[in-house]
Amino acid sequence: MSTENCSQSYPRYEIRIAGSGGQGILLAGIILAEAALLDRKYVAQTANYGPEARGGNSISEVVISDGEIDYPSALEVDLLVALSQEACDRNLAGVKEGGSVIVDSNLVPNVPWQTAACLPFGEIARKAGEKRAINMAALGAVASFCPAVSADSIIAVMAKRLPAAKVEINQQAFNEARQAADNLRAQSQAYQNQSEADA
Amino acid sequence: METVLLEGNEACARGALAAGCRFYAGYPITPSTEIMEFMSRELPKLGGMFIQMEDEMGSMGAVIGASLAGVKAMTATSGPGFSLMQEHIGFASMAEVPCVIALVMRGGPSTGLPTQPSQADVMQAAWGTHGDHPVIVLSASSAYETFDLTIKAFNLAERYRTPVIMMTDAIVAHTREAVTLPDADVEIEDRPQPTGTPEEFMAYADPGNGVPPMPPFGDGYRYHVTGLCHDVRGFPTTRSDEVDFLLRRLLSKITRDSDRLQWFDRWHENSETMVIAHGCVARAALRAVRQVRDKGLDVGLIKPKILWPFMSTTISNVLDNCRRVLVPEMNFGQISREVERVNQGRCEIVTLNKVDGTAITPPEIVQKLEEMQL
Amino acid sequence: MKHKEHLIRKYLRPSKKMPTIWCPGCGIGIFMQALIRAIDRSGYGKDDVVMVSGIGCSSRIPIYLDFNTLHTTHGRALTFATGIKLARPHLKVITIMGDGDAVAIGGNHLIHAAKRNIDVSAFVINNQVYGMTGGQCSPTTAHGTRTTSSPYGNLESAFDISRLVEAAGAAMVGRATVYHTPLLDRLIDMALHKKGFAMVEVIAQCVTYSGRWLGLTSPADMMLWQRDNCVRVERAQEMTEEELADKIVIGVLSDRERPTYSHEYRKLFAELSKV
Repeated sequence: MSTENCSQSYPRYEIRIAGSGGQGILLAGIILAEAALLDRKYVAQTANYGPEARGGNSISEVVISDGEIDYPSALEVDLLVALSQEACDRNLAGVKEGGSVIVDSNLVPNVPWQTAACLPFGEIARKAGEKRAINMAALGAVASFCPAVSADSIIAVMAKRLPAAKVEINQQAFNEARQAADNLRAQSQAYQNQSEADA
Repeated sequence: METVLLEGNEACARGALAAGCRFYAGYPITPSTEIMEFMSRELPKLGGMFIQMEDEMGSMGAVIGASLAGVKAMTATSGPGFSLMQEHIGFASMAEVPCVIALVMRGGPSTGLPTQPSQADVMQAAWGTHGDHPVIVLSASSAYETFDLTIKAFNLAERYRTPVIMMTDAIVAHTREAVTLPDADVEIEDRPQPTGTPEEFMAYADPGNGVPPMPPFGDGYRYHVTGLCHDVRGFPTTRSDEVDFLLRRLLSKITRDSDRLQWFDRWHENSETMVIAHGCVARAALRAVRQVRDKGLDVGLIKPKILWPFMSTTISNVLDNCRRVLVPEMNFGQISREVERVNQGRCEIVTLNKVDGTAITPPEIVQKLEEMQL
Repeated sequence: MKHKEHLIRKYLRPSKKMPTIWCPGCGIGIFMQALIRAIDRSGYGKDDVVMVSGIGCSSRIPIYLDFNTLHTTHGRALTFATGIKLARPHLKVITIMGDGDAVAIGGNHLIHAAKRNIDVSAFVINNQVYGMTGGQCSPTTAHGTRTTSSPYGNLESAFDISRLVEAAGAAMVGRATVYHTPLLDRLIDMALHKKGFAMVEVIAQCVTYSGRWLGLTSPADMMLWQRDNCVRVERAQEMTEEELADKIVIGVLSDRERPTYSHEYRKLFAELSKV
């Protein structure tokens, strides 16, 4: 008739992807969530959007944990991805102290966050051959920053979820962006090490 | 067993198929539409029937027709569409036609907040259609629970020959989570069938448990089905003894089993303070309870999975063993009203009501629980 | 005469529900008899027929008949019929509705059933009035007619049910009166055998209300009125619009082949099964 459940909340990693309708924000969240499931994590993916199919604000959240997830929406965001200036402005406040912020450097010129990673996802996607792959390029950066989900799983889910003709281009955009994000993190780490040494 | 990522709406549709649903009639409405879209894609592959009707009244009419023809049938809707369905939910109650209505709650009244969550249809689910009538309403708080409870909804509809409302909200409906799909066939109940000959068949006579057998149209048991008060053969009547017998049987076939119809999850049920929450709010409440317990507060949680008939026995037991109860709800207090009715002044009942179209969050419940301890 | 008695015994339910609720002289009984004759001719067994009705005087017909019978809600008989036909396609589904039932509260269901071409035979008994509730104005009440809800005369003009349903896409549309019983018999036969949505509009007298509104006091006068005010469709084609202004055109108004919803669905099912 009923069940007695465990008494503890598990630690969780919260990702919020925000942008405008039509950028594939929801799909990016779903692919990320399926990848987490493939990595045998607990995961909850939620979305928030206005009545518009195109334009308007679109948010997709993915909460990943090693245990059961009680509250499915993000409470303190570990990683924010913003693909429009408005999305960045609206969602920055939800990022927890020490959290990561990733933005498209062309679409979001203004990022009042000290350690934001600015990468040209739109440009990377265009160069890969499909400007709509901006969402998968952004996931490349997520894979670099987020310890909770593996790049291999994201790539595997992309192959399953995207139209066959578009898989390769999207995976290319994903890999390019992931490489760029890796480089950025390495530079940042080196800079931080240098600063600490100087101090 | 396969574990897949499903949103609540898809889990509902898959649960329905697992339960043997082979007919869907519906009308698009946010935030329930994905159930319909899934059915339009999958039912034709299974030899089932799908039809998009001209409105929600038509959807319920077609669902009842299909069920009378012997096929398990459902529809799905949200606030405004649910209002339109009330006429035929009443018909299904009166004529005792098994069917399932998935209700994905959004903000109301009227067109309200189409894309945002609410729990303000709890009372409507029970009392939306006119007249005294039986109804069963289940409430799910996650995708995996939606899958399981939708199967249960079909089984209860068949067992009691009554409409069952499978209730979720915009958050549960659109949250994607892992759902483990069963390998083997799930346990399925079917409506009782007559054992005698067509000549001696009495379509609405009480066989003892209040639920008359229900042969499908076309199998030789020619009988009359009506929304009018009817006698044991199904023919309209205004005779007070026949009307009284009918209405009492309709209600009691479910209420006599109400002690069995108690499904809930519980955490620390013997705590000094108990939270009673269902649907998406129960998720926030669980996290809040865990957080305040970490701070040393003695708080537990009851999450009802059935809202109607209200599980008075369970709630009464909870009220016997605690001092305070918090009922957080995304409405002005619908479940809390029932809790107060059962309480009869035993405990202090505190409400937390949010109606702004956003979810109740764990910190809001934590704050309330801390205030209650002062 | 002997033959008719035999049919009534064969198809009426032997129950305490007699006599019928209809007023003496009502046209509904004439239609019911014509329907029984047609079903008997059709060869459909009692178990194969499902009779679905809405709410109103004519919607009481199924109560008296020994088929699978379903008395539904006001205006929505066709939605239940749709569910039954799709779920169990071998059943012969017949719906019976009144004019207020089918065209006012159920108008949207009516045109959509026609548009989908659901394989159902629909009979709309048009007595130009809400009889059961006491003689109010209906969608088919003529302009200017005084009723209990239009005491100063109806401000609206009447719906032409047959043309509405034809325009919506029905496979077959016909109109008859209960005076023109041979035509009525023929149209019911056609409707029962037609694949797709077949609608027959049956003009019938309500002696208690419409008769009073028309100034006709006896059932016989009302049936003579039907005789004198109807024109066969074949003759109507040769008449001018002015000549037809106050006339009711009867006969087979439309008969065409269109794929039914079930047919299209079965095609889809077959295609999906191949994959």
